[in-house]
Order: sequence, then C-alpha cells, then structure tokens
Amino acid sequence: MTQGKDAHGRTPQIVTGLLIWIVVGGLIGFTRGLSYIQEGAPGPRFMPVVLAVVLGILNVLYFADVFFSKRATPVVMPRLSELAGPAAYVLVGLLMIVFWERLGVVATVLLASVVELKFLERYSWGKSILVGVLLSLTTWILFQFILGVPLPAGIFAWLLVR
Amino acid sequence: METILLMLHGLAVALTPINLIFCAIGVVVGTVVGALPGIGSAGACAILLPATFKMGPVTALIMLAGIFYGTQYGGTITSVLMRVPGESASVVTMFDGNPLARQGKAGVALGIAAIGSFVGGTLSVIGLMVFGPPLADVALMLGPPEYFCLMIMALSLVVAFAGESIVRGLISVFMGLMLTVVGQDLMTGQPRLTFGSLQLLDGIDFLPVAVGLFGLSEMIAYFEKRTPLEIIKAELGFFKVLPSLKDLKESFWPMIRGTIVGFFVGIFPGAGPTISSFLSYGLEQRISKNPTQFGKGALAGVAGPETANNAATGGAMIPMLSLGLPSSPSTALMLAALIMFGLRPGPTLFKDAPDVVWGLIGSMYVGNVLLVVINLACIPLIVYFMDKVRGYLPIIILLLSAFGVYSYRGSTFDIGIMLLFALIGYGMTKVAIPLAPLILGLLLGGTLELSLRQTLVLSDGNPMIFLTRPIAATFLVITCASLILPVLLRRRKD
Repeated sequence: MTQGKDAHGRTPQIVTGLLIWIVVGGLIGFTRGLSYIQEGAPGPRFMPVVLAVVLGILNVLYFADVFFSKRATPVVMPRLSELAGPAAYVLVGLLMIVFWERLGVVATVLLASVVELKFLERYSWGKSILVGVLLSLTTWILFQFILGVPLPAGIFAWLLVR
Repeated sequence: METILLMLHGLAVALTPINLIFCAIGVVVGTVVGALPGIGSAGACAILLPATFKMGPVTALIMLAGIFYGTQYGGTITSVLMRVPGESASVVTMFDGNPLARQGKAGVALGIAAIGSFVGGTLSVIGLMVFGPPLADVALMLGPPEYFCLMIMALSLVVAFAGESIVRGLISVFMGLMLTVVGQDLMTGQPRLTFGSLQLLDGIDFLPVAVGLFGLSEMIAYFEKRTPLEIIKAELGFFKVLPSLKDLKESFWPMIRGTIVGFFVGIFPGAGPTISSFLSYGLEQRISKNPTQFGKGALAGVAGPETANNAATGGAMIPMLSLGLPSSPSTALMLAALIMFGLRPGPTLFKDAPDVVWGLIGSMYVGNVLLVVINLACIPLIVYFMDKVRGYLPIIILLLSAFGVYSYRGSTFDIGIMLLFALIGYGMTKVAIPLAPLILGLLLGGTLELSLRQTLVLSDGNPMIFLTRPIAATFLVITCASLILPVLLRRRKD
C-alpha cells in the first residue's frame, strides 16, 4: 500500500476491481426474486442486470488498464502513518452519528468540536472548549430557530425545550 | 422583443430585496469558498442546499448559482497569492498570476482577473438568453427514445472530459446509475435491493451522496498532508487592484476570446470552467507575439482563462435550464434543488416556471456586478478571513454537512450515508476514478431508466428503435465518437 513497495499502485486498484466484482455479483444475486420481463415490458430486474453486465465488462477493461496499459494512470497511495489524520476525522463523524440522538445535537457538537480541535488541530483545551461551545450554540440557533429544523435536544432538553 | 421583456421581468424578480440579499450571500459565500483550498463550488452548493428548503425555488436557485459563479472569482485569490488554486478552474491562473504577484503586481493580476470574470460572466448570460429558449423549444419535440439517447450522450461527454481514462470515467457513471436502482421500482413499485430497510425503500438520496463526495471527502484528503501555506504579502487596497489603461488594453482581446471559448465549452456536459480555462490559456499562448513570457507573468495568461472560466458558468446553465441536463456537479445540485421544490427540470421549465428561469438569469447580471465590486474592494478582507478561518474549517464543514443532510429527512441514517460516500469519494480519488460522472449518473439514473423502459414498451422490446429514429441515432453516434475519439487520438499521440 505504500509508495515504495508498489510503484504502480496496483494493489489498491486490484482491491477496487475486486470490490466492483462484488457489486456486480450483488446486483445480480440480490435481485433474483424480481422479474426481468413483466407483462411483455422490462421488469424491475431489467436495469440492475443491464448495469451489472456493463459494469462487469468495464471491470475487465479496468483490470486490463491496470496490468497492461502503457499509459497506466499513476496512483500514489498514502503511507499508513499519513492515514491517521483522515481516520481520526472520520471517527469524529462516526462519534456524531452515535451520539446525535442519544446526547442531543448540542452536546454532540460540543463533544465533536472539542475532540477535533484539540486532537486534530492541536488547539489548547481552553480554545477548543470555547470554540466548541460557540459552534454548538450557533448551529442550534441557526438550524432549530432560524431554519426551523427539529433537532433532538437530548440531555439538554430541560434547558432547550420549553 | 419577448426575450427582452422576459429578461426585464427576470431582473425585477432578481432585484426584490429577499432575492438580492440571498444573491449577495451566495456570491460572498462563493468567493470565500473559492478562495479556500479544499472545498469547491459543488461541495459548497451541496452543504448549503438544505439551508434553501425554507426559501422559494427562485431564491434558492439564485443563491446556489451565486455560489457557483462566485467560486470562479474567489479561486483566483489563492492562485495568485499562495500558488494554491482554491478551485480547479483557477489552476491555470496560478501559472502567470503567481509570478506577477512575486514581481509586486499582485493587485494588477487580481484586478484583471476580477474584471475578466465580470466580462465573461456578463457576456455569457447574454448568450444564455439567446440560445436557451430556442433550445428548450427544440427539446420539447424529443420523445423517450431521443431523451434516453440525449442523456447517454451527456454522460459520455462527461466521461470524455472527466479524466485520462475513459474506462474509469465509465465505471464512475455506472456506479452512480447503480445507486439509483436501490429503492422502489419506478414502474411496478416493487422494492429493489432494499434488504428490508425502510430507509432504503425511498432510495439513496442525492444530497448525502453529493455532500459526502464533494464536501467531506476533500476534508478527509486535507488531513492526509497538511502543508503550511505562504501568503505573498501585497498591498491590495481598492486603488492598488484597479488596472491601468495599458493593462486593460493588453487584456481586452484575451477577455473577448476567453468569453467565446468559455461560453461554448461550458455548454458541453463535463467540460465546464476548468477545461475552458486551460483551452483559453493554450489559445492565448499560441497566438501571443511573446509566448515565452507565459509562465513568467503574462497578463493575457490571467485575463483569458479567468474570463473563460466565468463565461463557462453561463454556458453550463443552457443544458441545465433547456434540457434538464447537468453539465457539472454544481449544476447537478441546482437541478436537485429544482426537483426538491417540485419543479420538473427540462424544456418545459421556461414555460412552467418563467419566474424561476428568468429570475435566475436576471440574478446572474446582478451577481456579477456584486462580485466585481466585492472582489475589487474586499480582497484584503477576504485574505484576512481566509487566514483566520483555515484552522476551524474541517469541523465547520463536518458540522454544516451533518446538519444539512439531517435537516432534509431528519434521519441519522443519511449522515451515515454521507460519511460512507466521503470515504468512497476519498478512495475513488486515490485510485484515479473521477467523482463527477458518479454524481451525474446518480442524478440522471432514474429518468434514464424510465426513458429506457418506456422506449422498450413503445417498441415491443426492440432496441433497434434507437437506430431507426434519426435524432436518437445522431445522439448515439456522438456518444460513440466521444468515447472512441479520445482513445484513438491518444494512440496516435503515443
């Protein structure tokens, strides 16, 4: 996966190709119960099968491109150490999904902001908490009151909901 | 005469206080987003699309369009001052804009870019007025077979322009089309690939996918390699960015040529502002009396491409408004907004919703005037803001994305879909599969399937109908040419 070991970046491309095969298989396999032709007209399975067939053909061409093309598209993959930042950012997103309904959006935004600002952007605790509070209140006011989006108040329901 | 009257009506719509305010918000957001490397116009439109639900369709579209053409202005600032293009369409501006800044002419480069953007943006709206309505009238004559082939042609053109590999572009399109088969079948109502999930019964929504692919995936990539940026210190007050008469004279013809190139390239699906700016740069370099100056600080190298990328935004509106075909992710989001407001994009839009269409066109005149004023007068403020906000951008984007997606259907499932597609988008970029074809495939997939199945019902299942109808066959020939020609040309080049 690293730059040095796989100069053409083939491994991730092979993985991509295999994932596409799985998708093709899924399109055909999971639509087995549906009819391809219904009352003389294309049925609900028609489009998934057409897409699966074309995607399958394209995937063969993709593998040919990866292995045999002289003008193979250069793929530079990040080192594992470089993936720590992106992974942490995605984790903050997952954290938001987990706590969104449970803690409510104000607490979730505060938590996510502090974690992101402190551990990813390396701000001080004080600044992270201050900006976190500011962001959680601003987003609540903007979306709940100005844009009228009903948001879960969660643990702050006693304070935020009349 | 009728067009002029409709245009005046459009201007009246655009100049109502509420539309004027949201036009100003759109162009300011667009300028700032364009100036900030890492999030493009599509990402900004996607993130802010849910905020438009409470507005009327005219106001929403005016704001989204403002973001779209505003980013083309803003992208120049970082290209010139930091050698980091805020937008892909501003990459070319960097070639000569940054050397000009290093020679102490940052103000001139930014001023010419702003004026060029204004010229390109404004003249292209005239083109939109001239070519848009007749094209819509022609499109009214198209039946399901022609419409199917037209969409196939649009997608193939997007693929042809999307990147180096046609195969990768096609894979991206088919991934987008594949997402549209999830949910209830359009004709029979039977659930397809829903795996018993109630949320999937409504299908995979466009919004979380677009926000994930274009907003968040860029931020994930940002965390991979964080490079400190050097901003060239320059005096950027109003009078410092006003170009001299000599500079304006030197830039006049590059601006005119940039407008023509940008407008016509912008009409083609997939081509858009980036390709038009590269073509304009190539043209200016080729016809210049002093081609060796290019790359070292040629003013024509800034004026031409900057005019072209803004003219392309006007061109891009033609297929969107007249045919209901998006030519870029940003116009796809505007189409999604129309659909969300219950309007049917396509040739009937000019007649069904003249307020929306002509209000939007009118707002583009107003927006371009606002932008040139903002860009000439507020560059120091934008640079200061950019400097201060950079560190907080990832969390702000994550929050706005999550809130925006949640507010559409009130479901955390959509936030999960958004996060999933952010990862998919990041992965696709890593393995050089372009993102734009996927989003256009997702937007057009439903209509494409419907047209195909309607056509096959009409022809008793005979696919030869596509070849026996002249317009459909012509579209198919163009489709084949757009996919085969680049491969042949590349082979010949090799």
